[in-house]
Amino acid sequence: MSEITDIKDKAQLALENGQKAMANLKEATENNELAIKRAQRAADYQDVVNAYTAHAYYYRGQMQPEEMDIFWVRNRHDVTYNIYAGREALNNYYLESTSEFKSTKIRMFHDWYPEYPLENKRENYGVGDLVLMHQTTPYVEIAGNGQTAQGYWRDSGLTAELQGDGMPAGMIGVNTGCGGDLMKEDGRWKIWHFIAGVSAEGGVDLPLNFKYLLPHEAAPNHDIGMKLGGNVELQMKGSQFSPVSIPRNEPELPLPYDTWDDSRSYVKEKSVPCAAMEEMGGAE
Amino acid sequence: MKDYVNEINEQFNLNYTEYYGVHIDETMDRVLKKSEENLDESVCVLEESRVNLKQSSLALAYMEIQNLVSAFVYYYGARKEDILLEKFWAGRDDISYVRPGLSCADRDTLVSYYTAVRDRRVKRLEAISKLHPELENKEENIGAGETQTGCVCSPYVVISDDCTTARGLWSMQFFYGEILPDDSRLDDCIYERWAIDFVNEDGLWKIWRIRVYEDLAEDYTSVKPMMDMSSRPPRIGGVSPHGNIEMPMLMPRPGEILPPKALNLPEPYETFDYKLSMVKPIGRVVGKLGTPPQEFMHLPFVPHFDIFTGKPVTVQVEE
Repeated sequence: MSEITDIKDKAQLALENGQKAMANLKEATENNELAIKRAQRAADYQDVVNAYTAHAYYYRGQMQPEEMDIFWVRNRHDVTYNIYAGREALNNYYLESTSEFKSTKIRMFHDWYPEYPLENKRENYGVGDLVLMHQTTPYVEIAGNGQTAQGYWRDSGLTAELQGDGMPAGMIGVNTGCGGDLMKEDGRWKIWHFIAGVSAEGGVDLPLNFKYLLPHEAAPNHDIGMKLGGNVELQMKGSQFSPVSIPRNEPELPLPYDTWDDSRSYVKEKSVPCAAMEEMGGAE
Repeated sequence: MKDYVNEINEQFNLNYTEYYGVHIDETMDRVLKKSEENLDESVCVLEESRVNLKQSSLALAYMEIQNLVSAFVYYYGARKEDILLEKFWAGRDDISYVRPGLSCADRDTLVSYYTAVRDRRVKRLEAISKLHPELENKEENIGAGETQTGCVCSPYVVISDDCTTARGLWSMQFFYGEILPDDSRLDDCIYERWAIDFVNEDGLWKIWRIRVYEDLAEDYTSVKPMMDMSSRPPRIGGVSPHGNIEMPMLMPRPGEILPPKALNLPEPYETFDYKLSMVKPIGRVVGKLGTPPQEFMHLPFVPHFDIFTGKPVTVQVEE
């Protein structure tokens, strides 16, 4: 009888061991599933921040074609960069027009500085351009399904470019709030919509003062934007500081979400390329 | 993973009826031994999963903390102190907010300070609306004549091994503009470093303590071209809304190199200890160089002792 009891005890113990092991593995499975989700979100965060930093990196080097190739969504037409909504408007501005501007600047450079031979080729594009922008204040929300993300950044720095007199344009100190929608495409985070609202800018050759903020209507790319098919209404108004101005903070921080909904996009307006171009007498 | 329940039942019943005796005992010994081995193995797997979870939690915490600081500065710039208190400050009472000329070392003091800040804003609106009648003196216009944008830079974050607290250091750049009641302007570019302690409350990271080190503040309206630093006088004292008690120690004179001061980067740690805190609240000292605005003077700022050690703190005030 005692042997039977002993065997039963052993069987019971083995059974309990098995149940404990099963419970351990169940908890381990849950832990690992949660760890995978958290690690994926952490990796997504890094990739999203990197994608935005890459935008600034290529902007600094005036290498927009490379940026478009690597860090912008390829498989969609509804891409947007500031006032340029839609693939056509974006390509017009980001690829063709920027190249044209840069080539024109090299020709201007030849006129102003004939003693410096500078071949008009792609490698020399960007002569006279200065873009020193720091990407700060990242705030990133990744969708619950991990397929899209929204981010807020604040960029601060200096920009300058050659002007008509051959001298660098008054160096501009810029402080900009930026909002971006990003999308995972082929396993990589890409920029989908991007918008920047200038909060403060002023000439560095003048006392850098909020009262020198450029109003929206005076933005230098206003007319160019119209001509290239940009939706100028999309451009955020500069928050010119005055005694009667009310503090505001744009764009807004993204909120947590599970799946994408167009209503949450940083860019809701559509492109108006045709109407704008017709008003301007057609694209040149 | 084997199904022990069925295996044991099958073997036990079969052996019990057919092989009662030593043989069945040996079989049970083998089953028991195997179950123990599998239990040990499952414990190892569980431990590994816990390590995985901890590592992934630490990685994700970095994102959550950076988001927290960015959002805090966003609402700080938008002058939404109510949101700061509701969403970003920890719920505990021993929160601290310390900056030059100001030391709030508990929730009540911080709330009192935020209330005073808002009252100041209300008074400014009253004054400005008289000077500029187009600006109506009403609730939604509170904050008129003030602007601030903040850039959160250079994050250095250390999260405790137990993932319950964290410490971090950021460089901040603020552009600040304010219309003063006499219609004069205060336009500043302010460079600061923020040392912050964080605590995780119910799975959410919250700000526990903030210590602000003001490195440089420039008055835009009185300076020459940016590149000519020699012509940019340091702004000491004056009309800065928060006082500048530490600025004589921090502000570089023309030609001087600003030392990093005694602000060390946080080092890795397992669990929080008050000695580790990035913030050591001290009593507010009112001196010649940094007189907080009159409307803040009634606030119950902490006395001159270290709240962690209880020992008196001696603060050197430049005469």
